[in-house]
Amino acid sequence: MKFLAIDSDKCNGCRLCELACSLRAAGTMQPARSRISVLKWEERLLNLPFTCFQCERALCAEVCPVNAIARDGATGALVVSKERCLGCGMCTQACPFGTIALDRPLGQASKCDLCGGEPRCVTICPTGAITYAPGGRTGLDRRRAGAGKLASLLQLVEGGGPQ
Amino acid sequence: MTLHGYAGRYLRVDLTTGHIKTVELDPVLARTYLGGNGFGTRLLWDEVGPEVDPLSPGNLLVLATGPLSGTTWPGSGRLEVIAKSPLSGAYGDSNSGGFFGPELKYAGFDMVVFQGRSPRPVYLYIEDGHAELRDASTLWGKGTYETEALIRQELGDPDIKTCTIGPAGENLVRFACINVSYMRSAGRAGMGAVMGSKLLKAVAVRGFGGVTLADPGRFWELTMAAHQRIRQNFLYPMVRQYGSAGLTALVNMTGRFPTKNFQLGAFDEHPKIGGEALEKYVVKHLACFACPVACDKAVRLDEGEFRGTLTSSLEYEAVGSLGGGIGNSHLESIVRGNRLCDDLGMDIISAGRTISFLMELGQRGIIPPDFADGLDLSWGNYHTMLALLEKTALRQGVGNLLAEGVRRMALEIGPESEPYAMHVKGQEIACQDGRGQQSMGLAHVTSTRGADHLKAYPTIDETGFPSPAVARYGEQYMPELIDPHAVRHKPMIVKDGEDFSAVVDASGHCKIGGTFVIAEIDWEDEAGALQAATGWNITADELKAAGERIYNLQRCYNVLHGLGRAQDTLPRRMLTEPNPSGTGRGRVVELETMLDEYYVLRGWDLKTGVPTRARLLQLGLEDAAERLKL
Amino acid sequence: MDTGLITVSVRYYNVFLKATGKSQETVELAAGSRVRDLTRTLAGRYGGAVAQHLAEADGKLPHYLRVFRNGQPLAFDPADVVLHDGDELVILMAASGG
Repeated sequence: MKFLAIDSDKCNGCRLCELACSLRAAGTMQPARSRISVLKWEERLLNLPFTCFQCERALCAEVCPVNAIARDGATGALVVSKERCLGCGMCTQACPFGTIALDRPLGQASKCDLCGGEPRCVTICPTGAITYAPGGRTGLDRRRAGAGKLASLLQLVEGGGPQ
Repeated sequence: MTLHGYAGRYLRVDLTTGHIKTVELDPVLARTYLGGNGFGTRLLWDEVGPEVDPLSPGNLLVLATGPLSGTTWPGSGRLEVIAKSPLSGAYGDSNSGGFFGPELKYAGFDMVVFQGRSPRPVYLYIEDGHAELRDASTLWGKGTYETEALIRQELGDPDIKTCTIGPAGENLVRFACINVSYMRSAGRAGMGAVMGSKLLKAVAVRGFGGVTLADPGRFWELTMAAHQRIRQNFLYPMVRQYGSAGLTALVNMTGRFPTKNFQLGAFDEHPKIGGEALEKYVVKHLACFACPVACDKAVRLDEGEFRGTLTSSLEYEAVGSLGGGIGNSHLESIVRGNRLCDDLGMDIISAGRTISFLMELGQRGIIPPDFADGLDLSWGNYHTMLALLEKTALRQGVGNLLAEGVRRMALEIGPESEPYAMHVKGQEIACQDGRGQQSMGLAHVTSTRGADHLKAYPTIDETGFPSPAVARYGEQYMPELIDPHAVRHKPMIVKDGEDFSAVVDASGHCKIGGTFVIAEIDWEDEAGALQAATGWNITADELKAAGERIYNLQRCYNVLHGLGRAQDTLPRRMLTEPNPSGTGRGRVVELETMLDEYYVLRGWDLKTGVPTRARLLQLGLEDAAERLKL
Repeated sequence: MDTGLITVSVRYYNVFLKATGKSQETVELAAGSRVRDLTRTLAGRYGGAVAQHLAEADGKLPHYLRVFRNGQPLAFDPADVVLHDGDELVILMAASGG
């Protein structure tokens, strides 16, 4: 299994990933419908690309009343079934990271499905900030490093205003 | 019918009455003028006559995007601002990177057209098809950084993108700029002064919509091919690493680095202020929207006299204007000056040139030693530079004079100062000495917004690489084409560059990341992207005609304001004083030879420099021919 | 006494400054050496990015390379230019813009 590894230090904040994603997901150039978002804190020069972690214990799937979210056997991605999803929004409430959202024009839940194994955000990212990395030990290490960065950033945010 | 690539609507805001209306975009206008400066030029031509003072309510201020804005096309984050310029008194525009342009399209509008003057300070907030004017009285007087932060706070959304002016725009400094989220500027031609004259402090926008494409699959393929070529371009690592400041060494070697107000073409101490020196302060590479390059460097000073200073978009032009231009090798003061210009809302090129002008007048004894409120005008005095920047923005003391730009300063100080006022048509010359690169000398003159390097953007003989030159123009122009000192074929690349620039600025993408510096997108690529975006069967030839149409209408607008061949000239220094530096040593700009050939290529009258009726008819500009009585 | 050696000074800018970590150095070469001998010496000495930026293709140096000697630009493919004792060279990658 591979997963999206994000190195926010490498992100220059161009948001091409959002466009590539929305083009595939919604057929338009529309960051608001992208499943990956670059969160910006400009005064701190921070760019944080953020998308679904494909959690091992996926609350979005657990709370879904019609079992519309299931893991894809090939990619390991949690995929929303177009046939089943009612657009009730329970999953968006349950996700602790806000990486599953209701796509308004579609009326259904929308989340990263790893583009079926060829993530476009990775294809278009010019800096290598988003990579599609193998899981296992190396993957786990990188995920841990990413989480560590996130934790220190959160401390920074909670620490208050600009220096 | 959906107009793919466009939002399909734009806003007209009458600041005098507070009335706002939404207008459908005319598909014929879209196809003939594309967007950006094309739309703006047409609006000025139709609505702002020669009798209108640039700082009066009769001027328009246009913020415009193009059909590629907000897409994956490389560098599609550009915003074009158009108005009559308070520097030239004729056509003016300025272009900015950042994130505002795409956000405007996502909010459902291709452009915003302001007219009139508000009775009190206001800002416009646009969100998803709606727009409202809001009180800005508490923002008036504040710097651009704080203004942006306060607006985001007031509206409760950190993702709002803004265009703001600082004190310089409010005080009608003629070269005031508009700052664009985040830390970018529409710097040239005094667009911030026009905004200030309308008591418009800011425009804020948030959009959740999108841009539709006629052929998304094809567009994706073309986009990715262009991105790949850019990433493999030999200049890519260099521009990523140093940004435009990485040019400084070569420009000095070739005698094109304006030093001490163009008295010299090289600055002995340039290694202290170039991209290599700057690198130690770089804390982050920043990209504009959809840009694979990220030429922008955020720099921070952690110690020294100016510690705590954080700034970005510190370009080659900053190093030139506040460095070599005034004989200043103190890099940290340039960083500080860059921050000040952004926060006060002033074009760093023009601001630097007003200071170097004053310093040269001091050197020559044309002004008395106490002329500048007691400030020491010695070359390289950076404390003087920083003080003058503040005084200019606030129009305090001698700053009130500097705020007028060098042309008006010379009129005030007297005729003996005039030869040292380095401008064309009222706009100060940027940091390229045309004596070391003939095409640039011509480009400064034929630019429709006054002295400017970015309209023609003649990069081909600046670096002189044979293979890209042959790929773009063919073997028949070699070897003169790439020789910066040869005049042959230079009118051809200046004209071609101006037309291509007009199209790129109208389509809404960048001239560094893709088209002129990292030059991987040419006429054919541009046509392909526009076809896939809009569904038009537009060809490279039709695009060339569109570029020529836009440029000719800008020229006609200038003719309407009394400009012609007589004003197509350079400061005396460029024409008669040989450049003393570098490989450009001993040369002047051979302007008249190039100008004749340029007019012939353009189909303009050799004596007057006015477009001929025949050429205007070819371009579908009958109304311009009629109005100019041709 | 003719030692059979010449000494040239080389100043680096942009990518070359970055890759060598130096702004300037002197290099000893055999008398009669050409620019190619200098670039090969440097490529051998530093390897990595320097070797990459100076890599020849079909016997030609990369077209983005600009070499100045005593303030004057050498031709676009300066590989065969003969160097002299005391030459002051500048090596950089040319870029445009502003």
